[in-house]
Formats: sequence, structure tokens, C-alpha cells
Amino acid sequence: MSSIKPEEMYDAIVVGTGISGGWAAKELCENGLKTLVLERGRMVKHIEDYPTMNMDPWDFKFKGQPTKEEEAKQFKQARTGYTTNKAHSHFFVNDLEHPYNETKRFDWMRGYHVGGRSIMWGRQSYRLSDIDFEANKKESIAVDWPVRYKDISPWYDKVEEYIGVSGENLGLPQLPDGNFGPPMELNCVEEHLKKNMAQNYKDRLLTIGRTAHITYTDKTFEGRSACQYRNRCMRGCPFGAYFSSNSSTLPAAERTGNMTLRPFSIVSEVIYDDTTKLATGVKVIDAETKEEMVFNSKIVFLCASAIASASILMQSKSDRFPEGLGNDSGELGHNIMDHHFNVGASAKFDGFEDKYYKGRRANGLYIPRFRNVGGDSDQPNFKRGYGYQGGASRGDWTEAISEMKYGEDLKKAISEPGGWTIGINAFGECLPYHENKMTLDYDKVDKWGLPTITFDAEWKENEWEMRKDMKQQAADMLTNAGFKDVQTYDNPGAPGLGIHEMGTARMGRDPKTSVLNGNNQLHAVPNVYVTDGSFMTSASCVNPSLTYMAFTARAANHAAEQFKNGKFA
Amino acid sequence: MKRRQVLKNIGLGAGYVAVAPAVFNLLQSCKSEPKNEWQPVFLNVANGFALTQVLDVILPKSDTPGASELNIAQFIDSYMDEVAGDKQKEEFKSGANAFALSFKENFDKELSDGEAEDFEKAVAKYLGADKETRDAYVKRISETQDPEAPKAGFDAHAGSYAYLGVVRDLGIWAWKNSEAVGENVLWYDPIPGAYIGCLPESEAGGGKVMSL
Repeated sequence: MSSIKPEEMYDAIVVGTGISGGWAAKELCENGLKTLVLERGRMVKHIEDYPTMNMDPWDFKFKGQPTKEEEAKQFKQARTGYTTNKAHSHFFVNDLEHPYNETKRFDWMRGYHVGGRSIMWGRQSYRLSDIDFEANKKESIAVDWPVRYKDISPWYDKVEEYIGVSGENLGLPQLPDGNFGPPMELNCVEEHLKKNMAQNYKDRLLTIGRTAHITYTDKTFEGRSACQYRNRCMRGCPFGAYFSSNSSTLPAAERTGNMTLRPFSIVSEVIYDDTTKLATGVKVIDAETKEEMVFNSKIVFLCASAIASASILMQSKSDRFPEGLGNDSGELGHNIMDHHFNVGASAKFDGFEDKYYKGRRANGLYIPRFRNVGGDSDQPNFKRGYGYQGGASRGDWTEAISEMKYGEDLKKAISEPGGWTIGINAFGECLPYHENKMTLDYDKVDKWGLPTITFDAEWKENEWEMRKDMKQQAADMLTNAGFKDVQTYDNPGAPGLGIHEMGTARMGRDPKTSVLNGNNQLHAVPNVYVTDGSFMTSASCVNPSLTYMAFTARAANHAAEQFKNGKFA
Repeated sequence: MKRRQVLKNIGLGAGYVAVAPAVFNLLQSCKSEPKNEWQPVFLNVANGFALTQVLDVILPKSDTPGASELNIAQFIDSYMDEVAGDKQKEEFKSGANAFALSFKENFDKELSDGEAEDFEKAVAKYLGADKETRDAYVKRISETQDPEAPKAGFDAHAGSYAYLGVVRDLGIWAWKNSEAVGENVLWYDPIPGAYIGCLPESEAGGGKVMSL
């Protein structure tokens, strides 16, 4: 390898620019560390590189539907049913260029560009609670989280304050309150369900989703403004109304003058020095030229996503770590979790025909977890719990057409709002199973000569048992509230489809059974931090991104402190 | 040989299956060119002509745009060519052929000789049928669903009903998502600026559905 140029020496390297990488970059740079931020994909500049952000359906050739030829290039990404829409298909990978293998089906949805999935994320933002952090220990499942709510709570505060989360405080032990902007409104039919649930149930309630959109009228966010209710978030927001790395953390890092951002940089390995027992930097392949290079630093943050960060560690083999960097426990790449969902109920509502709503709210109702949270809520057939996300709306014309048939009557019918419908979809916790894993296939390499990933993960009995309750409770709540034509559904899909893959380098107290310590450091190589979904010791049932941000901010400040104290010299 | 191909099962939309002999493509190709100004890329010329005609019955021009001025037939034809999957393509083509056959039976003429009033009557006969007749078409279609052993043979009338249903669904989708309708007929509110959850219709679109 050629000698290291001085400009290739950094205090810290951050691998990945998604929701975690952006936070690592911001916090490290704001602590004064010269930071190189590496992104395997192309540059995406806020606003400038959101080509579809203002397009209407008629501005797309087929109203946004991909052609068969286009969809063939994203045949795995297409499994969600929405990712390949032309409104945002450019933010999801080409499956032909980025293949992976499936011993069992795994839906790996991702985008390779600056900002990563922080551009297309669902923006639902919930805190984990001590019910989550203590569950593994209480139930003797996997290993104990080395962290409790009090440790992470101030970092949730910091993150919510910075990104802007709208929502309602409820005082629930299973869903801690936060630092929220004004909640978005429920519509008439959602309010009806909320009132009925309050009458029908003592153990559960309905609220508006907590979402990372600015709803404040009295607080400013640099370069961002309040939500305009266009519901085109996945395309990138010209108002910067929802949080993304592109709109928020990367510009903040940039403003410090300490960040160097390098797109098209595929990290293949973290380099380990057995004399210092520390990492010295990373190996990079330029995605465009395939040139190999080395960048050196005192600290490495892996924020490449749960699967990619684990893959980089597994590829980082040395005499000391023949099974991958920091993999003394043998847990690296194991314990893959996601949320299982697409089970619930939908229904119609007779009434409120003279009521409508204004705006397209990129948010929905939320029914927080009510199972296995203590007292009467404990279930005999499954552990952990689930929450519901959903919403009510008008606007479906399918009912009208069988009677309006054709002609002028039909045109009139389809121009008016249709009847009210509602849907509630459960998101359930998946337990960590050692045998749910990813491995590397060195016989099938990608176009950069790197091994491809093979998935071998599945839902198990606890998930299947939970789904029965998820379906039943959904139907009961709607039926009890007077909804009509209640239909249940259960489409389990496969792990990955929730796009919350996590757990591949779990945190723990014991280096023999976990990869990371409670500060997100590799037990055996303390200047390597992994702060994307990899670190999750259990999944909780809530959307995880807020937790990734809070742990990343905490880890970055820990790293900066260690750095300043000369621990990684 | 296609001409001798056995009857084929086709499905049209959710649970709708019709059966049509594959010989119609050949029959149609023997006829004179209809008076139609566009050359379809997916359908044959006669079926493309018929598609334009039936769409103008389903979505006629009035004080709001009709199917023809929005080029909805051309849109559906290209959609079938570039977006639809193989099964959907085959079903659509076979459905169009079923319609050609029932047209011949109903009016004793080829599609290309059809007048606007014939297409009006054809749409009235199928999409305008009473509930009992519609249910009978649906039953007939579902009886042919088993590809191994259809319980019923080809029925051009049931097939035409199913085909026109698919044309109507695609037509509505294309109509609602066209610029002229989306911006001027429906409630176009590109930057709402707020979400208000419960308003009288008079203050929210004035009885029009949101277009976006």
C-alpha cells in the first residue's frame, strides 16, 4: 500500500450517511474532530437532488408506475409494493448491480446515496422504555441490554429537540413521553374510534403518530420549515419539513468546517493494528474507478446499516480476528431482527358523509402496545407486544362504480369523496434468535470483488402466536366501535420487509456473548463504534430510527471525550 | 398452430376470468383497416378503435374532459405494452377479442364498421346490465377459472362484461390522474399548508375529491 498522505489522516471516519451516520458526523464534527464521512453511493444534495419532489401523477409517464423493464432492475426492492414507484425508485438500489442471496427469503430494502434511508424513512419516532431494556433479562432471552432508559433518556431529549418530533405525551410506562412539537390532528372517524376505545377498553388508547416533522410555530430549525402536508416525503422535501441527514445533520457537520464527505466510497474493511489493539482506519474501493485506497483515523464509526456494517466487520479478518473484527463472541451477523407486520383489519364507517379533511397528513393514528406490560396485560401464548399504525380516509370510488356504471353519472361519482374507510396495521416485536443470521459468500462476489451476503432468517413461534392476537384485537376494536364490513388480513411476508433490520452486532455486558459494549464500542477494539441497527439487543415493537439516533449521539460524544483524553492516541 | 389452439382461460381483474379463443387475433388481422387515426402498440387496430369508442361511452365529454381528448385509449394501450405483466397482457388481449366476438353477435358487424351508437349499446348491454345479469356474468366467468378443468366454456358476453370492467377501472384511474382533470375538475391542493382533520365538505373541496 502506498504511503499515507497527510490529508488522509483524520480524527474520525464515519462509514455511512444515513440516519446514524449523519448524527455521528454532526456530533463528532461539532466536538472539533476532523471527520471523514464515507458514502458508498452518489451525492444527494438537499433539495437540489430531489428530482421528483414537485411532480404530480400526470408528470410521470405512467402516473408513477414503473415499466416492466424498469421493475426488472429492482425485482427485490419491488417486494414492498411501493418502493419502485417512479416518484422515489431512484432512492432504492438496482438489484442487478447489488445482488444478495437468500437461504430463506429476506427483503433487503436500501438506498445507496448520501442520506441513505433517512430520505425515504417512515419518520415514526418512538422511545424504547425500560419494559424493552429489561425484557431479555427478565425472560432469560438472548442477553441483557447493558443500557437502561435513564442512560439514553437525555439523548432522546437531545435528538427530539434537534430533529423536531410532533406528537402527544401520554404518560405511559411502555412508551415514554418526549420533547414534542404540536401533535397533528386526527380526522373525524379516527376521533370516533378514539372515543369508543376510551369507553370500551381500560388497557389501551389511541393517539396521533409521533413523527419527525416540524409542526412548531414558535421554534426555528436551521434551513428547515414546517410541514406543508403534501405527503410526498419519500421523494425528499423541498421544505426540509421532516428530518433527514441531507436536510439537517450533514449540513450541521458541514458548517463546522471539520467534515470531509466522500461519496462513491465503498468501505471493504476496518484495518486493525495488533500492537495497539486499535483500528487504524479503513480500506476503501472507489465505486466508480474501483481504485483501492486507505484512510486513517483514530476513531471509526460504522453506520452503514445493520447488514452492511456487520458485513464490513466480517470482511475485516486478521490473525487476531479470523472470524471478523471484534467477533470473539461468534455473535456477529447473528440475531437478525425486524418488525413483523402487515396483519390487522380494515373496515368501513357509515357516517360523517358531510365531513372531509384538508391536507395530506403524512402520519396516522397510533395505538401503543398494551400486551405484556404488566398486570392483567400478560399473555399466555406470546412474549413482548405490538402497536398499531393506521388511519381513516375518504376517496375510494370503487364502491360507486358498480351502481353508477358509466357515463356522466360515473364521472360525477368519481369526482366526489367516497365513503370512509379505516385500516389498522400491527407492528410486532421479533425476538432475537441466534440462528437468524447472515453470512458472506466469497464464491459469489459483486462487481467490486466483495463477497455477497446470504440471509437465513425467519419468523418463529412467538411471532406467529403474536400475529393471531394482532389480527383478533384489530377486528374487535373496529367492530366494538361500530365499524362495518370489518375485514382482517395477515400477510407475514418475510423478515426485512419492515425495513427495520437490526441486531447483527448486539450490545451486551459480556464480551463472550455480545459484540458491542454499552457505549457501542467493539468490546475488543474500543475505537470502533457501531451505531446503526446492528447494536440492538432486542427489537422492541416501536419504529427504531429515533433510538439509533440517540445511541449514535451518545456514542459520538463518548468517542470525542475518549479522543480528547488521549485514549485512542 | 394458433388457429387450432385449444380454448384458453384468461383472468380479468380480481377474480374475473373469461375464456376466449385465440383465433381472434387472426380473424381481426384479415379485415380492412378501421377508420382510426392512431396505431396501437399493443392491441390490434380494430381493438384499439373499439377501446377508444367504449372509453368515450364510459367517460364521455361533457363540461369536463372525456376519454378521447385525454388520449386515455392510447394511454391504456401503452400501459399494457410497457407496464402490465404477462398475465395481465394476455387477459387484456383476450378480453378485447371477446368483446369483438360479442360485438359481431350483437350487431352483425366487425368492430371497424361499428358506429358510435353500436358501442353505446354494447356498453349499455354489459356495464349497464341489471344486478341479476351482472351476477350471472360473474358466475359464468368464475366457472371458467380452473385452468385444468373449466366448468364452463367460452362465453363472449361474460368475457365482454369482464373486459369492459377492466377498461373502466383503468379508464377511471387514467382520467383522475390526468392533468386536465387533476388540476381543474377535482380538488387540486398541491401545497395544503395545514392538516385540518374534520371539516364540513363545503369548506374542504366543496364536494370534490382531492386529486393528489
